Amino acid sequence: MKKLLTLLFFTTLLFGQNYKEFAAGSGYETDYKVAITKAKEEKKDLMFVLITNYCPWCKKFEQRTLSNSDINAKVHQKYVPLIMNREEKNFPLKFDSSTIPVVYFVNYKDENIYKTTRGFQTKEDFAPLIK
Amino acid sequence: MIRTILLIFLFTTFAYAKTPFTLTGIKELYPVVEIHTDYVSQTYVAVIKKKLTQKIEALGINTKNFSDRSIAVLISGFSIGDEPVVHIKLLIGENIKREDGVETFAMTYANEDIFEVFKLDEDLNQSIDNLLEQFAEQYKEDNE
Repeated sequence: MKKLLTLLFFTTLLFGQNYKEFAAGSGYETDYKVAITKAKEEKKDLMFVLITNYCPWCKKFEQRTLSNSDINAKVHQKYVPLIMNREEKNFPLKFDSSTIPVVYFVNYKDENIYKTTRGFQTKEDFAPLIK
Repeated sequence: MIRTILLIFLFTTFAYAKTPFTLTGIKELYPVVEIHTDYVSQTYVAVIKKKLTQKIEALGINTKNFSDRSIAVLISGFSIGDEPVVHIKLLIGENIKREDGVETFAMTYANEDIFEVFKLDEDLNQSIDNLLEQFAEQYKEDNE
């Protein structure tokens, strides 16, 4: 009975939300080529968030900072946001990083990184970076 | 003498084969290996990851889908006197929802081993094998 209750508890409470669900909910692109093309069309810089599927700080960054409505509105106002999983290795190599999460701000004209922030940040810390 | 007592204490602390966690119903895991000590070369990351992946795939667990639920081998080291000691943790980390609906990251499996290094390669392989075997035994038992 105890085992059954434990099983029920875990199967009920486990959830498999991944970054693509976050991206869909917050309007982030998940493909580098699509995102940079859109950025060039809209003449906006790219805000590239690189995470991993197993990184708890990344999840917290998504849930506590990037999902905030004020933050998300500011992000979309100024940037084309992109989020990708480092483990999938389907982005230009220059964006690879041993530190996760990392946010690159990328010039839409030449695709150069002009600002980088590393690690989890609260919305108060992150807000000035996207002004 | 103090060194011996410390080692005995550490070995007996981490000597339990079973864990209080439940491995029932786990069908996907993402293998991760991290080495945070100079005692163990980073070249072991690929070797241990391959061993970990093979072991869990043999249990019928899928490792290919970038699951949010990770199984991690974390290796650290310290010294007691002049003797190097390696500490290995085998963990499952994942996001869960509490009963009140709050989402949080949680460790849902943890086991560990600690050993004084005599022959690193041999000691390390034996320790990893033991941890993986204990995981496999518990997985089979919890999924009967």
